[in-house]
Amino acid sequence: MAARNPSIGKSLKRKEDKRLLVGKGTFADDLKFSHLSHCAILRSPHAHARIRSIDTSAALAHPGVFGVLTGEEVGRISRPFPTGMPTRLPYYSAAVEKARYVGEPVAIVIAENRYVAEDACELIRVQYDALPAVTDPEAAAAEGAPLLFEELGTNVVNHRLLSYGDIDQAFDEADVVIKERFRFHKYSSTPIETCVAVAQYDDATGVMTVWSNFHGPYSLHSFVAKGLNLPENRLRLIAPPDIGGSFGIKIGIISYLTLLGLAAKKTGRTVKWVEDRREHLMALNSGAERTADYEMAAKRDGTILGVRARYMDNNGAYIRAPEPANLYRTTGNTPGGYRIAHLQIDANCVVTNKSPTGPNRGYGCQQLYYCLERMVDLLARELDADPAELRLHNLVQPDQFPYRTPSGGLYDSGNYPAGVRKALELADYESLRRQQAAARRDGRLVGIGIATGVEPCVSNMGYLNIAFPPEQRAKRGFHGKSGAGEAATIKMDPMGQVTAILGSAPSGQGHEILVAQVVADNLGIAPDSVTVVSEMDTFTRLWTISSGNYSSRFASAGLSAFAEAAVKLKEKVLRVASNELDIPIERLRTEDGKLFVDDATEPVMDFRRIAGIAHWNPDSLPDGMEPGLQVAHIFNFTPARIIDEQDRVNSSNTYGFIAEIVMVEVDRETGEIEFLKFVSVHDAGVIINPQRVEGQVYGGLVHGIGGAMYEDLAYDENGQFLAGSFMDYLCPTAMEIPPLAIGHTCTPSPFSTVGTKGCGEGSAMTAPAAIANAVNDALSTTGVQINELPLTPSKIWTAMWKAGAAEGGEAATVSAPATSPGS
Amino acid sequence: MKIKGESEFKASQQRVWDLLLDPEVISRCIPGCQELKAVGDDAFEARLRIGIGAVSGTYEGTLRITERTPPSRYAMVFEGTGRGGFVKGSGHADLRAEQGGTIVAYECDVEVGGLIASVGQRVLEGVSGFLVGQMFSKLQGFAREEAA
Amino acid sequence: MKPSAFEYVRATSVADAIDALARHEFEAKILAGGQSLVPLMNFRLAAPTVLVDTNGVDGLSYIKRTNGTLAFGAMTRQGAIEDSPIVAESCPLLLEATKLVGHRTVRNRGTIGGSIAHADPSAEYPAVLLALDGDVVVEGASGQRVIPASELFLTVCTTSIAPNELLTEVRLPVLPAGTGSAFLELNRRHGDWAIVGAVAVVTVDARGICEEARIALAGVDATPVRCHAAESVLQGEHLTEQVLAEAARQCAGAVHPGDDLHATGDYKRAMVRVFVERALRLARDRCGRIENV
Repeated sequence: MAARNPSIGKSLKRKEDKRLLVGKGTFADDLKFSHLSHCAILRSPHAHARIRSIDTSAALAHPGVFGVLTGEEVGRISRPFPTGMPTRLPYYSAAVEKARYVGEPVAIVIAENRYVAEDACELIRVQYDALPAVTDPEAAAAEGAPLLFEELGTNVVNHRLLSYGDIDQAFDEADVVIKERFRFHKYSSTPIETCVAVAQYDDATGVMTVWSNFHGPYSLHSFVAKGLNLPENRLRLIAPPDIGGSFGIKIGIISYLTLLGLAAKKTGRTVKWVEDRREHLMALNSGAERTADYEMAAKRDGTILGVRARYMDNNGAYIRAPEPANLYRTTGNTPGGYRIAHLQIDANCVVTNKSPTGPNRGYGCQQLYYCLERMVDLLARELDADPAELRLHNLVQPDQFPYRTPSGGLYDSGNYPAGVRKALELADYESLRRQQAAARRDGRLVGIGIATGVEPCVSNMGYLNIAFPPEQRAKRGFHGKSGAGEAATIKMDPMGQVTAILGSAPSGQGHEILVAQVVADNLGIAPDSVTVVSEMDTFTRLWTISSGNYSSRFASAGLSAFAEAAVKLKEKVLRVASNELDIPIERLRTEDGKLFVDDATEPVMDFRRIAGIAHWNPDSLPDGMEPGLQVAHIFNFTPARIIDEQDRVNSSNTYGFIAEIVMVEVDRETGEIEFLKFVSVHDAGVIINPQRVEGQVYGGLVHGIGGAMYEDLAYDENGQFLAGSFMDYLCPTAMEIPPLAIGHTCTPSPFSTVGTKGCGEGSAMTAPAAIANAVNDALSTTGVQINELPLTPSKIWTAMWKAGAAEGGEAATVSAPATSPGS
Repeated sequence: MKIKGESEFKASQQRVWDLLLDPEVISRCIPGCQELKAVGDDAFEARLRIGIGAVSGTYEGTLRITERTPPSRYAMVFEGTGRGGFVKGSGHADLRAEQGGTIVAYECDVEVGGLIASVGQRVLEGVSGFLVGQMFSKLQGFAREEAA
Repeated sequence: MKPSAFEYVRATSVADAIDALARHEFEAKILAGGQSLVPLMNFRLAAPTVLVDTNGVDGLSYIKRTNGTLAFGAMTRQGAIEDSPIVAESCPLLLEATKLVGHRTVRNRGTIGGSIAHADPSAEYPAVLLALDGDVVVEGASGQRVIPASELFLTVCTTSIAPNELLTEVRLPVLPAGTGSAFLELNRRHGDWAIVGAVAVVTVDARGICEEARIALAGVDATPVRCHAAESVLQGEHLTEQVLAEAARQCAGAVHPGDDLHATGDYKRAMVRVFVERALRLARDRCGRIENV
């Protein structure tokens, strides 16, 4: 029953705001411990090297140093991390025998403070035998490439050929076939707060406790336990109430949780490590780099028949869980918003001498949509069709939902053409095209780019199995996976006040206010009165294996759990009231913490009275009712099914939609990009709190602009990492962001309890594609096309110059004499 | 990173050859060289203290002559490590007589690794050019002194 | 990212600071605004054993105009320069350059003396100093000396200021009427180091003939660069588009920047032409405005 004065749909201020704004948040670094020791990590300066010896004697002799743990010792006292694919790799929390990327931990120093720990790192003498490095996925896959793991005989550590429909038929029937190669680069998220971990080992109980800003997925709890060689019920992970952003990147902290645990065990001390920005940029997760070869088959009328693609994912030096999921997380939504019946994906997971990869806002979708949407634009050019019309022609239609994609995705709800039309309207597309034509007559490079994307939310654990071929999955003893659950606990205390307790750790999205709104509306109380607890503790909290703050899952999985828990609690409240008042439940309703009969305006009882009875006087409760008023509830998405024999899997559970239109001007002289228009339309299902959604849309868009134009974890050809500070790793600031026009459409999800979908990743998936399409449209009059990111002025100018289209190029043709500084 | 250039000496090719391969001379010309000692045929160990503005660090490393064709060409490999990471590379120098003097054309492939590579990208080339330039201008000084 | 241990000396006078430098010479560094030095120390790329803090020295923060010269105390914050009516009136070029130095929070701490002594080749103030033929005053144990800009910058972050000397004052000439100036910069983001920075200053007589021209570049060599050959293209000429373009071409031909992470050398060189031309055009047009006032 809907609340009379619903808070859902209102932009209530975050419960978190005040404490964060006045500096009273509790982040991992704020946690207080007595007798804390501090760690610094010595890291490999080599991209690929055999470690001949490590001499720690000078470091150990340094005053204030309590111990040094080397990779060699890590190899002896811990176990390699599990990998979610058939091939096993010796991946430990520090380099054992070989260092495979610049920044890989080689040793960890435990000392009285961080200064001393860093001093001691300088005193450790490591002898390396440098080995040839390989950084490009294509080169790493080639015959004769340096091998990261000699025993495997290849750097391609996972490969699947996924076929859906009849791809050969699609290409046989095609009037038009287009082909292109794309390069999507390696970048990250750089949350303001870096990783923090504190580990403590109790040798009496054998329990390892690690406090950190790890926010899940809690399926990785077992990953850390495995690395520590501990039973899972001896590993306690605790997260503080506040985490300063993650966007998926902090999932990479799992290897450090293990390393810190080992350091705590070795020294018998409570040890703390705070990641510095350079460590963050060079060694934490990043999104995967992808080289992709695409072929698209279409009819002359624009109908897309099939897509064949080869993904070469550069997953860095190790496969850090949940990788190689960048290849597979998007399986269900491979065709995006389009009705493409035939698909074939040649998926390759390649290890190279770069830092390991992991989920980065959009996980797999930015690579997917960048390529797919570039292909749609190339098809439009080939057919001389309007790119907006071509998209409308191919989109899944509103009457087809729930829509099953050939690769197994079950799109819950949507009206994709309405989303695109709304974007066209907000942008005044016709007028933009007229402006473009006028600008072109003046010789200006003005372009319009469109991109659409289906936003998969709440990963189904089932997709993790795609890394295994069907014959292996069919074997007895193979662990099939499915499910997408989240836990919620709600308690009403003896005074009738409500506390809602999360089963995951938020990272700045404002989950507390959303929980308050959903609980309040479903229970019949005021959102202000709800206390929301957002720390996480794997020992004491209710959680599921798929719990965690990732995959834009909170709005649908988390809030569904709270909505259902609140309904259960309300049922109990009503049963107690009905029993007490002797009035049938159907005639009772709740509002603002009170009970009303039928349409009466005066309450008959308040929650305080009910709670008093339930807690203090179980004897008067209806027969068989548990005392107290608390509900612990687990919600699971039923469409989160196991993968089938044909590799079809509904890889997510709710599917939002994004349509974006961007107009840019490229400066002919400098290659700089100026935004003239940026329109972004989203369908996130039911919106609980519009301000929260707007914040997410902005964040995703800015991140998308960063990926398209600025952010780049660059390496040189020897595998040296070049972007170790914010001077060289460029995050866009407010100054770089154009005014955004944001629109919404709403198709409630039939699968989530409150109709919500996720929106946390959003335009991070589609903005790179929209911007690339706009820039290439702008450049089309020069004959230049750029199918790699980021789109830097230097890259754009160089491409134009080589094509003879750049002004100012003549200066560069003056041949540079060799520098002779000594003469 | 490639460092390449030419340096002009007012001395005979043989003299320049001798200068360039004299550890004593070289140790006085390499900026910040605190020690250069022979550790075998054509192999040397060195300790350098390099300071550019506020940035400074001590590097220890080895240098080995891999090719010698007197008086016209020699080649070497080198590597060093210090607080800022490591440097390694190979290079060669070609000497030719020209207008009563000698031209030394040099070319080095240098790989810089670790901290400096990851945060000092923007100025690396300028600094390398400056250090090599300093070395050659000192060598030219030596050649001039001898000529005088 | 914690610095190595160092001794901290808080100087309260110039003599104090010089004394500390004299005692420690090569091992000491001056802490002014700390916007470059502190990050370098945290990376441990810089590890001075003594840090001489001049933030407590009285009398090093001032902006004075006397006899055609603008004098700045070395510790004058960039933010103070940005807010100074004297600077806005007497040296609009410096104001324009100041707004390109990092962000306001950086400029609240950063100082003019620190920026020039640090001598980052991409920084704005060194290029302005060089373009205007300014001077710096340094003091050491053996007394005071004045170093002209043309003799100041040796290479990346290296100046002719001796390790035992303290920069105390920066002097810029006030330009004559009929002068227009511009500082334009190409960078990836607002507040970043310049990929290419172009300073143009032109003085035009009543007939529109260029009496004097000054061009300096940032970001394209190990030090800021003065382009005398290009300046001579402009002198004595009407500043037509063709003349400006020729001067800009000369500038591009005179530099050989290398590749880096953000731009190729070829690109930077082409951008020297583009930005010098744009800066010259702006400077020329601003002469006109000054005349009309």
